[in-house]
Amino acid sequence: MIGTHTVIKLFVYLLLMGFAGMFLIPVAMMLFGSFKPDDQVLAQAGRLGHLLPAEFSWYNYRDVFARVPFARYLFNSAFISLCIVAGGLLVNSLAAYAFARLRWPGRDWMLMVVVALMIIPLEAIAVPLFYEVTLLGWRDTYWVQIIPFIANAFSIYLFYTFFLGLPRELEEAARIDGAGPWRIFFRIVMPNAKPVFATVAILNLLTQWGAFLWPLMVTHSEAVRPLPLGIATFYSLPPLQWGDIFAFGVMMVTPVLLIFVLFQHWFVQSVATTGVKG
Amino acid sequence: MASVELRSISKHFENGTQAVKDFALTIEDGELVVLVGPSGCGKSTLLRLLAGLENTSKGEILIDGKNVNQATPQQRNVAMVFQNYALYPHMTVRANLEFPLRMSHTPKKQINSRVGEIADILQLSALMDRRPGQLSGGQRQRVAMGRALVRDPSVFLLDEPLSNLDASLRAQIRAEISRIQKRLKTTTLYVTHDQVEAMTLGDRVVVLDHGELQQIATPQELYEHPQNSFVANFIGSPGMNILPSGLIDRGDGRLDLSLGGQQIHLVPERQVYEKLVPYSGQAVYTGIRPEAFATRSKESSIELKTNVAAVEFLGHETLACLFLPGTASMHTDQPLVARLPGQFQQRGDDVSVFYIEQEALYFFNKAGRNILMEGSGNPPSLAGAVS
Repeated sequence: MIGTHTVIKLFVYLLLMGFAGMFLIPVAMMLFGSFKPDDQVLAQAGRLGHLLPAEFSWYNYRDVFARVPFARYLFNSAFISLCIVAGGLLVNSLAAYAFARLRWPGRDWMLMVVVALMIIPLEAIAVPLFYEVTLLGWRDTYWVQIIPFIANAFSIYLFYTFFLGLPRELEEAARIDGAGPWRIFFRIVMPNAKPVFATVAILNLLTQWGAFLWPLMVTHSEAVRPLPLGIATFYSLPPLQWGDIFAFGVMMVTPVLLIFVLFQHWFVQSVATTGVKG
Repeated sequence: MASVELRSISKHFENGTQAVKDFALTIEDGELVVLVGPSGCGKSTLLRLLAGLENTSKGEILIDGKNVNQATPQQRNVAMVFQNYALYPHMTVRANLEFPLRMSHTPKKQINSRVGEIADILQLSALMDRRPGQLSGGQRQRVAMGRALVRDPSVFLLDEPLSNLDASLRAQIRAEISRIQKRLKTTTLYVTHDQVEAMTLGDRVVVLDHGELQQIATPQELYEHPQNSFVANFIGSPGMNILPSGLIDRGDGRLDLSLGGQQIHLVPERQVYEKLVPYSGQAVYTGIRPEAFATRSKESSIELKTNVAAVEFLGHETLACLFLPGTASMHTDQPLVARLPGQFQQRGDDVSVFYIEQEALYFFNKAGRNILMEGSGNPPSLAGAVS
């Protein structure tokens, strides 16, 4: 006989599976839809029995390359994201180190400002920032998409909390051993902060890889536009082919997914140690 | 190797804490001096000041006669072993040992030979490719010492290096530190809160409390002739029992000591009598080391009646917690502790009588100063006949 406890458990699991399905089905639709002929993509949408394609076709993928300069978008996204991630790791970690370890006038006030900056979304400052980059003559360049995003308050805060937890004696031992501040940072602090570097890199990469609003405001040529603007061109490129959009989506997501899988161990470790929710 | 001189060193922190007050100390070339004191007494701050990790608020630090107040840790050529060893976790033992030499741009050949030499001395040769996380506590400790010694420092600083080790390993490493220091003859300042370490390691021991120097002396002098009640209580395990008491001059070279409601007649030497007489009629504190208690009388012994509150049998000796009516220990509010050889049998609830030789009594004034050491180096003996 099935007890009440088992029934409740069964109900809870079904509920959870329902929620999981809500998140997973769109991803599955994108993936499988990208291999379907275009006329079947929307026609079969909403019918779970037809989620898998009758036969797998690479047609949509070939079509993407034929209709839009995907390689250029991919390069642009990779270059912009790489510059932001690399520059951000350097700048934000150094800033955080200064907050965590150095003594300088106004440090605590500046830290408060940095923390306060975390709550200001890009949308709130997009227009003044747009005017600023226009005045500088940076529009429609790579730099306009890179420089404003290198310094990042949230990254600084993540580094700061991690550095506070590093034993100070390591740096003091290095000082006594004759290392200067730069050597201490690059030879002692950085190698011991790999998890937080991985976390910041992945979080920044995910944010920048999907950036849409700012590139839309400041770029107009395909030469510098990133992937999210590339996918948007399909909506204004008749005929509207959902298979192409899905194929583009799969190709856009795959690189970051691979990077996440490769570095997830460090990422999870850092989230656990810093108590930060990804 | 070098001599070290600390002249009137004071250190105030930004939060208003005064960690060190007007501290002075000279360490001779090749000497091992131990800095001992309770937690928060400023001993680690002193070490950090000497290392150049903190700046002095006042005073001068001289290494080999040169003022190093403004010098960086590297310029001072000091090496330090930290309490938690501070080994670089991402480097192998070899890389840890090589690091200080690399920082001073030592040629590769010289690095290899020096690291090999230190690894041999500290028996680390088999561990060179391991990382600190793969080492035991004792091995990590040896690597930390190796990293400090590898560049032949002028001064070797050790900040509670044994506190993370278990008791047996601590004794072993303590002996090893002593052996290495004697072999290399490096001027060494060793910080600990453990008075056993201090007494067994130091050529001289510096006792510190609340940032102030209490006494500098050899371990034996500290034990036998403490300058004040803090040193008397801190040195020794268990520390000296210090009890409120009173002295009354009987006028004929004799004194009456009032202790826990008991009147004890003392017949001190003339010199002692003269030092104690000014305190006649005043409250003083009487110090008795736990090991001064005996169950048999000697010629110059005084008699002390006590109740035995508890007995702890430790095998080769017994610790007895004693209670004197109307008396509380000055420092700990604990009962008196007597350390007795072998096994001590408590005889029911009756009063137990213990005997203490007069020369084993210490007297401290209200300020805690050892009355018998006032105005002289070593105190006179209290030995005399009991009336």
